[in-house]
Amino acid sequence: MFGRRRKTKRGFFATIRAWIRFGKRLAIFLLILALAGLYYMHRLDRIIAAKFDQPRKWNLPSRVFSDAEYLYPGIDIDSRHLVAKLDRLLYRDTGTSIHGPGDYARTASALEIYLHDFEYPNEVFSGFPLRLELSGSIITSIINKESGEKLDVTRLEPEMVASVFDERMEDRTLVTLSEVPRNLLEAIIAVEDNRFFRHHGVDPVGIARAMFSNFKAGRVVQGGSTLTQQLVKNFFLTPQRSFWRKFNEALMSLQIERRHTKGEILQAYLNEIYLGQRGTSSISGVSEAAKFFFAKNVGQLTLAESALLAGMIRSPNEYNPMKHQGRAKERRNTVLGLMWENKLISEAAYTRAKLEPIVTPKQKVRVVTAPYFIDFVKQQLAEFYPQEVLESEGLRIFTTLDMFSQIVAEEAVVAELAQLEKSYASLLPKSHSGLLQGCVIEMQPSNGYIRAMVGGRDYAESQFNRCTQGRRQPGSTFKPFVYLTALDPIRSQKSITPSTILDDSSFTVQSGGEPWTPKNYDQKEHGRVTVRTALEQSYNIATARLAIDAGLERVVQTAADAGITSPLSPVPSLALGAFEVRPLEMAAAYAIFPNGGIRAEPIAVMNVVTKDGLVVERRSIKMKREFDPAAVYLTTNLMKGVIDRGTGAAARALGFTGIAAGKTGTTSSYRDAWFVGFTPQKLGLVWVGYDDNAEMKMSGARAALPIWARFMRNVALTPNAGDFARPRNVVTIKVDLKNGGRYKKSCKDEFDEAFIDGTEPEESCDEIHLQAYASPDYF
Amino acid sequence: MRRNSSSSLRLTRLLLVVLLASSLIAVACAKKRRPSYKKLPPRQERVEPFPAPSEEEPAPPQVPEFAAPQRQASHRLVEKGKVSLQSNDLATAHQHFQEAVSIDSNNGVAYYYLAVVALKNGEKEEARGFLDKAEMLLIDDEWNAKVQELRNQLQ
Repeated sequence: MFGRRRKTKRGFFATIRAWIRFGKRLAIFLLILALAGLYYMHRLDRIIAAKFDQPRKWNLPSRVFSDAEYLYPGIDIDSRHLVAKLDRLLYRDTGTSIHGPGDYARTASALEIYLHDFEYPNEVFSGFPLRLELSGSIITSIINKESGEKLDVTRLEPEMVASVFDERMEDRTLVTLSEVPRNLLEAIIAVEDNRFFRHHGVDPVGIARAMFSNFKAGRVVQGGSTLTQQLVKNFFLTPQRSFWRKFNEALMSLQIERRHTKGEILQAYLNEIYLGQRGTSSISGVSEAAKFFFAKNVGQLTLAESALLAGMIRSPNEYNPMKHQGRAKERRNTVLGLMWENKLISEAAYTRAKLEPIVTPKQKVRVVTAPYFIDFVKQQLAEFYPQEVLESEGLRIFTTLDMFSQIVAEEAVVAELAQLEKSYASLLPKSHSGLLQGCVIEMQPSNGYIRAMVGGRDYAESQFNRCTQGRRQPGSTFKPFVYLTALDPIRSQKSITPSTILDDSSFTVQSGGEPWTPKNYDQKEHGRVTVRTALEQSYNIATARLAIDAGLERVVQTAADAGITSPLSPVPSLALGAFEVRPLEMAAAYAIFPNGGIRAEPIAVMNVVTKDGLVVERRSIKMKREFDPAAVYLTTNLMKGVIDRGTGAAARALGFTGIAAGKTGTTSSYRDAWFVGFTPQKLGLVWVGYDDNAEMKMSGARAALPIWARFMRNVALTPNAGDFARPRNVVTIKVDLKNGGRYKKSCKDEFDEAFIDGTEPEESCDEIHLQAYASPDYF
Repeated sequence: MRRNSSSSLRLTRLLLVVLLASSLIAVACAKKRRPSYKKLPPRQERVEPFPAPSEEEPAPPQVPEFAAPQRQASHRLVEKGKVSLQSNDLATAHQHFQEAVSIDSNNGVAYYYLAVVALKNGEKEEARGFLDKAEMLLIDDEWNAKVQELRNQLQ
C-alpha cells in the first residue's frame, strides 16, 4: 500500500517534471520561434525600408526625344506626313471637330489639332486648339482657335523616340495624388478594394466575401487582395502563386500600413500598377496609361475613361481598348454601374458616361525607331550620364532628330538594299555569309544638326553602327577636297579655275619608294579635260595630277579643316580616297559646301533635363569660317554638274528634280559604294558595302545613289529650297561646257560657269586647245 | 570627489552625444549633397556690360517671295528671342534664335543674335563663328556695320 502510494507520488512528480521539461522545451521553442519571427519581420522590414521608404521608389527610364516639328504657312502637310506624325504623337482622330487636348480633325480645308501640354527645356507649354487652314495640303494660315489670333509659326511637341529602361522594362511617368482626378481614385477603390480606408493592409472581410463568391461560382471570380497587397505583390514580389508569397505579401502589407499613410500607399499604387504592354516594355502607372490609351494627361481623363482605366487593372490585356473595344466597353460600363450603386456618381453622369464612345490613338506600328541614333546619343552622353544613370534618373534628352527623315531613311535602306540584292544578285559574291549593309546620315549643314542616322540594315541582328564606328575608304567622295584646295588661290597658291585644262593621261609617280600609277574606273585615258569634266566624270588620273599640283600637304590640311579627323598622309593616293574615314566625319566635312565654307560641328544632343525640369546640359551649335566662300561655291557648282550630267546623273532618272550637288564614290575592287549629296538646306550621305570588306561589284552610282535619291526625294524636295548662295566676288559667264573657253556662237555646248571675279578665261572656245594646262615637270 | 567624477562622466556623455549628433548631421548632409549622377550645374549666366539691341534696328533683309513665310516664321522666333534677351533670359533667348536658324538657315539676323548671346555668355569663339555666318548672309550695309561693330567688341 505504502509502496504503491510512494510509487504514485513518484509518478506524479515524474509527470510534473515531464510537464516542466516539456514547458521548458516549449518555451525555448517558442522563444526561438519568436526570435525567428522577429528576425523574419526585421528582414521584411529592411526590404521595405530599402525599397519603399525611399523618396525615389522606382527607377525611371530616361527618354530620348526628337526635335519639335515647326509649322508655318507654305508647309505641305502631306509631304511631311503630318497626320502620321500626329498618330505617333498619340493624338486621336476625332472626325470633323476637336473637343479636348489630344484631338485632331482633318477636313478638306483645314487640319485642327488640340495641342498637348508639353514641358520643353526652359518652357512649360500649355496646349491650345489650333486651326491650320489649307489650300490642298499646303498650310495657308495658322489660327489659335482659343484667342482667334493668327500665328506666323507654331510647333508640334517632340516625339518620344526611345526610353532607356533597366532590366524591368517599365515605362512610367510619376504622378502625385493631387494630380489624379477624383473619379479615377473612386473608381479604382470601388472596383479593386472597396474597404481600402477601413482595413490595415489585409482585409479578412474581403477575403471571406471573395471565398464565398468563388465558392458560389465554382471558380475564381473575385480576389480578396487589398490595394496594399496588390502594391506589395507588384512592387516587391514575383507574380508566381505560392503560399510563401501570399504569406510575405500579407506581412509586408501590414508593415507598410503601419509605416505609411493611406494617401502614400494609394499614390504608390497609382504609380506602380501594371496596365498593359507596349512592345517589350510594360505600361506602368495610371499616368503612363492615360497617355498611351487616351493621349491625355491623367488629370484630363473623363469619367468614362477613368472608369475604363480602373476596370482594366484586373486584366489589362483582356480589356485593352485598342484591341478589344467591345470587352473594354462592357467592363467600363460595369465599373460605372458599380460607381453609381455606391453613390459615387449621379444617374445623369452615369447615363452620359455610358454613351461616351471610346476613342484611342492609333497604336504605334513601329516599336523601335532610330536605334543606332539612340546608341550614338548614349555614347555622346556617356561621360556624364552612364547607362545606369539613364536607366534610373528619368532624364529627358532632347535631340536634333527629325522623325520624318529618320523613318524615310530607315525605309529607304531596307527597301533599296533588298532591291539591290534582287536586281544585281549576279554581281554579288556567291554564298557570302553577311548581308549587304548600309549607312544613311542626314545633316542640316547650316547648324550641324544630325537629322537622321541609320547605322545598319537591322539593329536586332547587328548593333554595329556603320555611320559612327565603321571606318571605310571614301574613294572618289574625297575628291571635292582636292578640287576645293586647288580652286582656292590662297590654299593652293595656284590660279586654277573650273575651265583650267587637266591632263588625264597615265603617269607614274614614286610614292613611299614604290611606283604609283593611277587608273580610271573605265580603264581609259581621256586626254585633256577641264577641271569641271574631271570632277563630273570622276577621272582619277586628272584628279591625282591636280592634287599633286595643288600640294598634297595642302589637301590634307583642307580635309582636316573641313572636319576629317581620321589620320591622312600626304601621298598621291590620298586624292583618290585611299585613307579610311568614318561616314559621320565625311558628312560633317561635306557640310562646309552648302554652308558657304563655314564648318558647323555635328550635333545630336541639344538639352538634357532632369525629371524635375532642371536643364543640366545645354549644347549649342558651334561654327567657324574655315574656307574662302568663293572657292567653296566653285566646288559646289562643279558638284552640281555631277548630278546634272556626271556620275550622279542617275539621281535625275530616279526622280530627284531639285537643285543639288554631290559626288559618287567607289573604292578599288568595288568594296565600298558612296554617295554624298546636298541641297542648300539638307545633306545626305549614303554608304553601302559588306562588313568584312567583300567585293560587291557595284559602284556608288549603282548601289548608294538609289538610296540617296529615294531618301532626298521624300525629305528635300521643298518648293522653298532656292539655290546655293553665290558670294559677291563670284561672277558667271557663258563658256563652252566641253573645253571651258568663252562661249561663241560657233561653240557646241553653252554653259553658265562660275569664276572668282578676275579669273574668267580670256580665250574663246575655238582657241582653247592652244592653251593647254602647263603640267609640272615631274609628270 | 564622487561628485566630480559623476559630473565629468556627465560631461563626457554630453560630449559624446554632441559628437554623435554632429557626425550624424554631417553624414546626412553629405548624403544629400552627393547626387547619384554627375550633375552639371546650370550654366552661370554672366551679365556683362553690353549695349542692349538698339530700338532702331535696321529692317531685316528682304528675301525672295517663295521664302517669305519661312523667313517670317523664323523672324517671329527672333522677335521672341529678343524679348528674352532684353530680360536677360539668355537660355531662352538662345533657344529661340537656335530655332530660328533651324527653320530658316539663311536668316542672318538670327545668327547675329546668336553671336550676341554667345558674347554675353563670354563664349567668344562661338560668337565669332556666328558672326562669320551672319556676315555671309547680311550683305546689307547697315546690318554689315552692326556685325562689324560686334566683331570689334570681340577683339
